[in-house]
Amino acid sequence: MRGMRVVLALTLAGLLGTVASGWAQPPAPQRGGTLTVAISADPPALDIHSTTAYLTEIVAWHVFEPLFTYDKNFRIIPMLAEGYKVGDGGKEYTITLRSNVRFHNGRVMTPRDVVASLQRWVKMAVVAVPFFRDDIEAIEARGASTVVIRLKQPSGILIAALAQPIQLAGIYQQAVADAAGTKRITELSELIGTGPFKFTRWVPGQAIELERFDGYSARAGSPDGYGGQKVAYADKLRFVIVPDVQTRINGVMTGQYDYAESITPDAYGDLRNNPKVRTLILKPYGQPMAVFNKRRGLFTDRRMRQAFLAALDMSKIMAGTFGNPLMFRVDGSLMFKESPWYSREGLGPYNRRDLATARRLLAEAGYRGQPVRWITSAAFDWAYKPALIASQQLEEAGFNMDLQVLDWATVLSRRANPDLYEVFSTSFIFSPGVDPPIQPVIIGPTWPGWWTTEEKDRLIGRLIREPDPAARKRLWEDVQRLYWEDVPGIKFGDFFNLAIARPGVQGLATRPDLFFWNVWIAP
Amino acid sequence: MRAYLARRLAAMVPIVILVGTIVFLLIHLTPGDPAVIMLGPDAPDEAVTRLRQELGLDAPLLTQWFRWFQKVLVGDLGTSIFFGLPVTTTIRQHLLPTVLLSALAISISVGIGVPAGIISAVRRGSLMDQGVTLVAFLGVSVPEFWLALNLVLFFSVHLGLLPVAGYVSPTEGLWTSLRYMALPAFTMGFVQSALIARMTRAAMLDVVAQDYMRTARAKGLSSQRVTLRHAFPNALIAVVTVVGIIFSVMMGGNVVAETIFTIPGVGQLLITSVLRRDYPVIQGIVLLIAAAYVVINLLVDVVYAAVDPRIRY
Repeated sequence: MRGMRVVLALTLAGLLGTVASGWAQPPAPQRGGTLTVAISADPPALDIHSTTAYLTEIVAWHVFEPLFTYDKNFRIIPMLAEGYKVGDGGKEYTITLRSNVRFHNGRVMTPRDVVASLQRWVKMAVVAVPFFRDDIEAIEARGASTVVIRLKQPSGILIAALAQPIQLAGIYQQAVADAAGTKRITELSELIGTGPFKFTRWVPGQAIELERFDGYSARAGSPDGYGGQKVAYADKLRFVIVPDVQTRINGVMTGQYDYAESITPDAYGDLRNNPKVRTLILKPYGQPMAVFNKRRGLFTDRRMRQAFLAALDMSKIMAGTFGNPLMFRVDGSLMFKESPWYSREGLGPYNRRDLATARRLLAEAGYRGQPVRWITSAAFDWAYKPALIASQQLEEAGFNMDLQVLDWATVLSRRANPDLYEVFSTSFIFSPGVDPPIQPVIIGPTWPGWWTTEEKDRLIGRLIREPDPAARKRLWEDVQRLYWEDVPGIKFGDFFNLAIARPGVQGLATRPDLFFWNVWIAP
Repeated sequence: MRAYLARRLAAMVPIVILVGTIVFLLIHLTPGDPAVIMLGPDAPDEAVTRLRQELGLDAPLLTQWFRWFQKVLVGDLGTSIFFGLPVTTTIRQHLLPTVLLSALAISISVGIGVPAGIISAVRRGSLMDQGVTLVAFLGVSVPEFWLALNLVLFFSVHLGLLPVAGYVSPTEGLWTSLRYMALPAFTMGFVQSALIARMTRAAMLDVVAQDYMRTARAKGLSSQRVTLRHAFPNALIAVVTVVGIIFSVMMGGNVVAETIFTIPGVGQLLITSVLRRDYPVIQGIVLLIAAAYVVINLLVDVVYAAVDPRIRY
């Protein structure tokens, strides 16, 4: 009898345990299957060094890996590196590499591969060229597992730049990197990396296919943000090019695609209640901006820019552009809330909507109704809608707006010519490599709009050289305060990206930069 | 006939040169810089300048035109700026889907349009005629994207019978390929069938009113034989003309159907290349379209001679 009771108790406990674990634990990861991801356009290249295009990044970083990357809190962690040491007063970086990391063709990665890759990358990368290419004295292999980067001046941003996903400092084989120089590599057979997937097929306009690399040298430990342990669960990863957003939605609903990116925020309400899809809000994503021409014309006068800012009601602009409150946030911090750089310093003038101040500043600047040419494009909601709504608010303050709606390529080429506009639309897309000094969109003196003031250049100069994180954060706060005083441009707010997936797809992260390692298909 | 064909093919050369030159000028005079699009909008000026040099975009326009034209003469359409692949390869990859889709769509539109046109002409004024006229009217008026989206909603999303979108080459399985092509081909075919039905009806009405038709009927021929053997062949010239025009237009790619159904055809390639300012690809496609127009028109003329023995070249 007693034995019986024990059996009963054990059975019950077992049952309860099963129920509890059924609730508490997600299904165990499964290997196998093809993961089909619908992306909105062709990436311009698969050579990740060659372009800052987002689509290139999210496809090619399954193949190429960087020395460093970002964890779940957007802090730098090693990936192909084991760690690094800074010496010589911030001028010498000694990077230790992980051992026995294999390329897709079975070769073991050596420091010479890393040297060749970095030498190629510093000549091509948007962040490297203006900020430290000319400061690099040498990149050298030392011994069997060490790479040394020697600089002419100390740099506080080198490791952040090596870790940023956009135009990733991926490691190629030495022979390939040397042979290509700064020319874009188009041969799939040369695009060999160390990542969990390898390229198998590329049909432009149609699809890019990858398959699991069985010899992948994963890091020990657990997954962490963009790094940590990466496992390729799917046998195959297929990125299909599907330009029409409704087709991407229909494809996920019918199971033809497993995942689709860039879904219009308007669709959120319907999709959230649809049992055939799972919605994922990718956060943070980007910020729509207007940038002034500070080289010529009306807005060389700071008071004009301040008047422009004073006239704007950001809450209305963001709500009118993105609709659903879950898809945007009204926030003037130039760095996103999720990033370690976030600060509320100097946000006073942001989102004030003070018409009296705007009119007073306009009068002081001697504005007499000259047309304000704002070049924007209907190709993107984040460009066109804020321009449209803001223009109306600006007219109420006394500005004479001339909104010019052009195609995107025309905006990009016109904004380089200071005679053609007063304001242009752009957006700053979040990248975890947002070490502020390496963001030309906000601070670039040579970037269209041309923000150069003595104080800003001094602050940025210090920010680039300063190695201490706490000091760098304070310097950045000074830059942000200056931004909202001097108003080189206007950040309207933050917006998020919507993606959808089939309910059976597990392990997806809601990060701004998509990846499909550690993702599996539940049966 | 052979001399005629040679003459017509020779006439292609000036047409293609003229079209090529006009397009070259138009797209190079449009603002927008392929180097900036390639490298991303945040690229430093230095990198943009270097890429422009590599691509030869810093040379004077006349020099660029001359370089391009020299290559075209030997069949080299250049390299796509965006993909870094030869233009001929890029176009070839996109040509098969367009040819296949156009052929299927034409078959569907002829299959629907010609019988509908004949029936409504023979039964002029009947309920049948009015029905055909109404459907044809709808076909002409309904926007293609609307029809396409509704077909997808019904056949793919609700019934789950056909794939939502995509393209599978017939070499990878004919049946699968046809399943993917069914909705886009029907969308394009239905819209065009309206035009064919109207043209067939009009041409048939002209013929039916003629004296020899009354003679045929008076001889005691069955009405089916009168319609198909005596009337229709004489109406065929007009039908062939319309089909030829529709086919030429389709060969230039159908942007709406190709976008909604994600078919990597020439139309989609042309539009995205314009947005990317991929000059060599735009030029290549426009040359292809010009050549296709000329060749299809020539074929139409040859078919005239076949269907109407009175026509001799």
